[in-house]
Amino acid sequence: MRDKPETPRSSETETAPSGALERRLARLPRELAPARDLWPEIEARLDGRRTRWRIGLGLAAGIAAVAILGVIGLQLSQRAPREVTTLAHASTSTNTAEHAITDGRTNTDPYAATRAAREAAYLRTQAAVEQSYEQELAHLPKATQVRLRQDLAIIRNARADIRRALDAAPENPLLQQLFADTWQQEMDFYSSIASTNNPAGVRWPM
Amino acid sequence: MPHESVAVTSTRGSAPGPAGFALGRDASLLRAAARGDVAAFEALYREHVGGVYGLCLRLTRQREAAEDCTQETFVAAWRSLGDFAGRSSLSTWLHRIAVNQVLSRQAGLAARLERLVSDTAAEQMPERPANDLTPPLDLERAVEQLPDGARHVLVLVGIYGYSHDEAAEALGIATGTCRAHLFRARRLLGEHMGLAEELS
Repeated sequence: MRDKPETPRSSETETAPSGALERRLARLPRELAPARDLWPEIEARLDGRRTRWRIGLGLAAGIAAVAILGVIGLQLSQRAPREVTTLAHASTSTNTAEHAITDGRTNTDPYAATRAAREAAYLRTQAAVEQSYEQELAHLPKATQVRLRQDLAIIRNARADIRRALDAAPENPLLQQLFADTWQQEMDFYSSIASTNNPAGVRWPM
Repeated sequence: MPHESVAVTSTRGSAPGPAGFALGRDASLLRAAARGDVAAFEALYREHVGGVYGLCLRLTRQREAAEDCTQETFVAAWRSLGDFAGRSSLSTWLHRIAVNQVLSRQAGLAARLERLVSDTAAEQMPERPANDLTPPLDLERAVEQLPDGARHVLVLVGIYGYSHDEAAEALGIATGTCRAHLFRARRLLGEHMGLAEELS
């Protein structure tokens, strides 16, 4: 469709001779006012889309903060038992129970295999969608590309922080959940890019 | 569902209105909106909602459906702002999206049943007797009572001024079918409104 002309011309030139009907059609207003303001509902949906980014970034930032605090707390909590253990060893060398607890915490990671398998699955998924993500991104304005890459970096940095925290506390369920959440956020991020570039129902050439 | 009358309340005077804002006028708002500026997009919405809603209302004949389609049009436009190349005016681009929204909505089963009822009713409208002295039907109301295919073409070609090729492409029909629909629409309107000369 090319731009609409000032007055209807097709009915004048392509069909029947101009008559009373054509003249009356041409006088009809092309713009009609809706009975209510439709903008608030539209805006709510726009906000939803924008807010999703903000929520995602806010959540990522929150996760990063939690992870950092977790690492700090973990280091503090581990330091105290070690000091206790040292004192206990000094006072009695037959405190085997405490040896067992200490060794179990520091030398083995029963969650490592599960986490590695899960991470490998995530990485395979990520590799599968990342190429199409780059293609989708290329269709967006440069400034938007830069902003989106920054957003993605925030999510990935948060995951890296949580990963380090998990190395220190692999059994921590909160960190495990947060770690999984960052993967989900990244997948949601890719989905948002795809839906932005290909909104449902728009099949005309842009 | 009963059809609702088309409220002829123009937002900007009577037809023929401007052909839509030239892109130059909308360009800065478009750029801002594409960057995520909701206020700029609202300004575009305020400028163009009348045209989009008018088109949707005439195509759907139902206020609620027209409101839904108008909202869907602007939401879809917002999501695609980055892809708008500016080869056409913004109003034309919005009209394209609006037609798609209406057609998608009408593809549903309930909508098809509604259309079946309305098409039958339109076909059964009695012609005006020669000695009928009552005032002719309001044109907007008469357009509203046309069957879907004829009305869609009449609205796009007759009111919004698109060519047969453009209307046919928008509606997903052949150009010949588009011409046939317009002929039928003109015939029905002429009969219903006592404009016999239109048939000549």
